Amino acid sequence: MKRPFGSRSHNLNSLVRGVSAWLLIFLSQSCMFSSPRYSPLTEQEAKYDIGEHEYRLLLEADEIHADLKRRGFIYQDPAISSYIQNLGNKIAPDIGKSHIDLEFYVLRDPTPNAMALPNGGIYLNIGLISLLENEAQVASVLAHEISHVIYRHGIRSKAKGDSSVLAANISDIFLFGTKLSYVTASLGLADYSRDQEEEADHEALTLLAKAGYDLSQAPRTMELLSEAHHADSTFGPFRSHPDEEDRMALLQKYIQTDFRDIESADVIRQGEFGPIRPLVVEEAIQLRLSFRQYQLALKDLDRAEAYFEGAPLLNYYRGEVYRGMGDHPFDAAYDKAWMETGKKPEEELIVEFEEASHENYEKALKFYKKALSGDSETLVAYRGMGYIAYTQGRESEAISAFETYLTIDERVGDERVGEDRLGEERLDDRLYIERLLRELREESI
Amino acid sequence: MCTGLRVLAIMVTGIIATGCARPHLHQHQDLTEHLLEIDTVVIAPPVVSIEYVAFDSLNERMRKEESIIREALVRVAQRALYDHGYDVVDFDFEQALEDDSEFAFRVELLRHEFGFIRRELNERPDTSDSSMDSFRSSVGSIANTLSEKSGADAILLMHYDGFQKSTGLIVKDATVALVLGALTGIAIASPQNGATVELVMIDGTTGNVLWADVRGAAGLSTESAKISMKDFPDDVDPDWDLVSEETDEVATDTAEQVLD
Repeated sequence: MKRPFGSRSHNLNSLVRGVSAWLLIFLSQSCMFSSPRYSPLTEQEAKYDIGEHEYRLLLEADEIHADLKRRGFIYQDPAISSYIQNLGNKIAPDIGKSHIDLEFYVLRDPTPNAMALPNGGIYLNIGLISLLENEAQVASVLAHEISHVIYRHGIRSKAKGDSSVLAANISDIFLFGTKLSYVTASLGLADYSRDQEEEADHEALTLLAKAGYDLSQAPRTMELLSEAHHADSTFGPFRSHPDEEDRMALLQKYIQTDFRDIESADVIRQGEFGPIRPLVVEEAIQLRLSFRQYQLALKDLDRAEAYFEGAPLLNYYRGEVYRGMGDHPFDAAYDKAWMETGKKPEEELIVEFEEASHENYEKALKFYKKALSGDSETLVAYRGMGYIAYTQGRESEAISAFETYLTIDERVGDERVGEDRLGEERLDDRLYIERLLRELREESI
Repeated sequence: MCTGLRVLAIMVTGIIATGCARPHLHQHQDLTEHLLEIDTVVIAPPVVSIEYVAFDSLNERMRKEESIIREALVRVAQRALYDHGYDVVDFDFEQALEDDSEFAFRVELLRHEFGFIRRELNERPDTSDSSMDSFRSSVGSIANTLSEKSGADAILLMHYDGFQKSTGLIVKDATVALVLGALTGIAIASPQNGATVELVMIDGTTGNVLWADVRGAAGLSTESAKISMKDFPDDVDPDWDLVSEETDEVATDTAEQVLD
């Protein structure tokens, strides 16, 4: 007898068929394949037969790099990028016979992270470098990432299906930017297991020892990053390594056991990091401002104060933070809420920031003036003062401030020379301000 | 039938139905006044992301399809801009991005600046600055970078976000729908693919966001963009002689359906 549609037994049969089909698909796709052996790249006699799986991953890694480059995320400053490239080359072992080339890049990302892709691309965020104190610490990060590549952790992870996301989706993270972090947060190709992290930690010590670096800086680096990760990512989407305290302890143990015979005299600690440091610190702060990460910008400035005490530009950037909060109270509220709760701001907090705009402008003006009293040549401060005066309708003050700002000499080409970079004028700002000046002058006639 | 299950079914249906974004259109409060200064537009390379959503969550980017859609979006935009009386600036964006990483990053910052605006529009739709009648937002000085380099009065940004489900996922969704349908008596359909398209025009001199529209639909095609561009504001004082010459040069065919 034909069962009427909608009857309980008909529905039950459909249900059973549907669930069975679903289970069949699920089981077939969950089938575990035996993993090929992925020899470390330093095994000179190993044969690197690249299967389709690895080939696809390498292609995807190349696509990610092309995306990063095309969108300007890869920092091209010759001072900083060549420093990192040279340092990476110094630490890297010989993998000449492998199919991978190690390349080292700096990313325009203020978050304290680094990553390695299976194709040998190693990326240090400017935010991470800005946290570090010396060359040995930078070297320890590079050595760790190099180790991930050498041991082919990315490919091994994917072969086991450990990670949940195969392909990076940079645009989802960053573009039309509703997110506060980008690039590294969802790059599944750079996700590793705890075992792999520990393996990389140990190999990194080997590389550092061979290159003559102070091994004690490896756990110190972990400590600095751990502090920064807790500050940055209590609730946020930043990628942070779990169990950092355990790993610090393990590093100490490795140093005391496996590397106890390493001579501590004549090891490199500071290296050539000194001139690089102010450059990366400033870049990181500028990125924080661009992404309206005001709370983190203030933390970065406090951290920088310890090393660049009283530097006028630090006060200028503090001014920029408060001006930003005055200009964008909604984003300032969002930033604060995210930092403190990991959630969107309540309307009350938004209103609080809107009502505090004037107060924030006053704070900004105070810091701009402090910057100028420290160094009257901090002419960028006049830009901020001009914008505030313009916003508040103080036309003559705005005109005066903008005119003073525009007396900054334009820099020639892309030349970067230490302190000359600080307060560098940008072409787009000049045109914009000249237009504002025309508007202000017309109104004042 | 159990009330709780019916509520669940309604919720699921609602979630699926709203999976495609409803259209959102904003235009600047002083649009007509600003358009007096806008004759030329440069089309920034569309940001296109199409993800193949697999059952086991090992998603992949559909690079080939992204490339097709990217080119098609530019053609759609060119055609529409000409139809609305604008001159499209012939600027080799790809080469500029390749040659100058600072410029490339400024383009990203421009997108990011609009992202902040969009976030506020989405989350505070009732505030006076974001309502249709009084929309007034600016990306600031960053727009000057593109404007100056390309020689255009305005910049068109496009963002396309699509997905295509794998067979396994389609079957899974169908199974879920079947289960829910059997339990609730309500038929639920989940799209196999779809995309959201966002178009934004920015004044290259002032940084003001002149016009912004976002809409979604099932399928992977440029149809949403075409519909969106129909609402694009006309140039206030077009040079029709120049525009008619340019229109003939634009390819009339566009990639319709990327996937069957």
